[in-house]
Amino acid sequence: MPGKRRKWLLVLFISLFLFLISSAVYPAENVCLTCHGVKGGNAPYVDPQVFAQSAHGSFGCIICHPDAATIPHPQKLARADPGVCAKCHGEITTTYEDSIHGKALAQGMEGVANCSDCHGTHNILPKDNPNSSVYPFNLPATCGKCHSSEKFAKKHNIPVPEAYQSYMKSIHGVGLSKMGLLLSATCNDCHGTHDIEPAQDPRSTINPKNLPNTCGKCHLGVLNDYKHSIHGKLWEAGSPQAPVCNDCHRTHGVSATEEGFKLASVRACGGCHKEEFRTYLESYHGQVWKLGYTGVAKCSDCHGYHKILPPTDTDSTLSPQHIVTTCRKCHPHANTNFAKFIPHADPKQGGHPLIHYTWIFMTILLIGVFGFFGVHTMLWAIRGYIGRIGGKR
Amino acid sequence: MRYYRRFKPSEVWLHVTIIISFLGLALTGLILKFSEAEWAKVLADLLGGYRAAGALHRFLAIVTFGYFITHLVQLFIKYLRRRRERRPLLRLNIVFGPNSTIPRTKDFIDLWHQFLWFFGLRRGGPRWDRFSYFAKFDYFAVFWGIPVIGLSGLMLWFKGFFALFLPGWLLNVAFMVHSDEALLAMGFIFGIHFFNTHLRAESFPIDLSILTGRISEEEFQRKHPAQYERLKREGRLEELHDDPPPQWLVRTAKVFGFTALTVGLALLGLIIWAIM
Repeated sequence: MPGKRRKWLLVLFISLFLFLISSAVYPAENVCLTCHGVKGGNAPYVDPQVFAQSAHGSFGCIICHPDAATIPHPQKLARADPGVCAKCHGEITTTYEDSIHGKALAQGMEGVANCSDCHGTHNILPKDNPNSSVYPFNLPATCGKCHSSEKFAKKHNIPVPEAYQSYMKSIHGVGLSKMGLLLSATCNDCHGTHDIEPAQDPRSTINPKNLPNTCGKCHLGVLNDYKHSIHGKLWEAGSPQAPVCNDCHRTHGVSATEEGFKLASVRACGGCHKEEFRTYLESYHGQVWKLGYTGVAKCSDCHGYHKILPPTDTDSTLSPQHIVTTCRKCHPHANTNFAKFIPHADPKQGGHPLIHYTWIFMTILLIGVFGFFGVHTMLWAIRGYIGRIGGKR
Repeated sequence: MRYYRRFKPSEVWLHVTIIISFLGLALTGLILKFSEAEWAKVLADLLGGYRAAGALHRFLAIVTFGYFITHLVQLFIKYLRRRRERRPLLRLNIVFGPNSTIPRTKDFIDLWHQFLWFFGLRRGGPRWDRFSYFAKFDYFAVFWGIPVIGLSGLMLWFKGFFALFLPGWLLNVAFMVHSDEALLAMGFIFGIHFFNTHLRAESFPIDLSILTGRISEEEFQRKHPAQYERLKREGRLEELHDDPPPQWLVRTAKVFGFTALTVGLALLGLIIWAIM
């Protein structure tokens, strides 16, 4: 039947036409790889195997590079992200656009972290693949590509110049990289991912308003103690003076509770509690601390740390019910009399009257003796030496 | 040259012990008192940390109690010997006589004359007997200082024991007294005693009599004219006559004496550095 034959021919013709059209508009991978699959050629190299194993391995090139649809394509292709990524990852891209990175990109800042800077390009992998650039073990190095240089930090007004280096030395960094603990906090655990905001932003995970909860995701017991403490209550009341985690613990350099941290913590408390710090420095405890030894009482040894309470609270380490036990940590013979010692005495201001009067007496004694004999010695020196030089006796 | 005995060997040894223990106590104590100073950290590490420095401090405290008690015993023996004296006036001599360290009227007159001489209102200074008023002040500074620093130090050392019957805030008092009294002692010894005894024009650079126990006739007449003339008048000068100190003793005394002076002045320098 000639009619039936014509129909088949038409189908064949259309198919051929479509094929020709399609091969012009959508070059098959092997078409792209003619140039990009060759190492050392003029075109940027794409490892066909790496791409094939990537999360996007089943996609054609022009999904992400639409401007390469016609060959020859422009010399320089437009950056694929974040616009192209948004086609599939719309919600995440919207989140990203609202983040510090996204906003900076929109302002036209150069060198801002874009999708591919963190996730990779042709080698992109799902986040739970151990080879992914955003897998916990690999994430610090990925963020560290930028956040490891003082120059970069200065240029972009980032308060922490060498976040990567400090982090890697911190308890979190060591836990992750040396101990291989997947649960050890890495960048995104504190800062978030696509929604990273600067600390000043009230939505930021590291804003003082949110930081305790951020740290509390892992350190839940500490968070509970803190919430119970005088500091935590201030924080919950929204006081801007309330100390939060990073006021005592360094941020990226957060360390275990080793000697260095214990020494530094006194200064951290003293930053707010200035009077107590001054009187502590005048005490024996403070004198030894100034020498750089941790063997004597520091703030936390008496006051506690996460669960600090005012001495009026019966749960406080310094309440009448508990103070002797607290002193006994170092002074096994301590009793209620012993606990009447005033660790933050200020003899100049008063305190116990006898302390103040003793101070007055000692001051008068010292000034009196040094004053009298100072003058006596000076006059004698003048008379003895200069009088002699003059030849008189 | 003729030599006379000024200090008994036991008194020489007492002073040597005082010098060594006092310098050690000062050094280990200053590390704490001026712990914010850079040198304090260096010295603490050199001594092996604050615990080692504290242990040395306590050891030297025991030495101090030792020589203090020794001296009290010496005084008591002296007193017992005098009790055998029949004449009651001479019995009192141990307290009020010219060989006593207790102040008497002459000392106040001497002080007045000294100031007159300072201002050029008198030809020549006071004529000192065995102990001048400033030597007596030096003596009583130590005599007062040891019980005060010693008792407050014991309270801080054995705070658990003292807390059995004393309130804890007395430890605050003890801490302040110990620290201030020690500063007074160091400032006085290194600044004033050193000048009065060694660095004044009449003695410069050092008076070795406390270390050799002896004094030359020329020095005797110049530094203690009243005592010299009194003994001569009473015909008792020869009782004190002694051999010249042997060369080795003079040499040892010089090395020890100058070392002690240097260390003391260095510590005074550290104090001034820390206060400035």
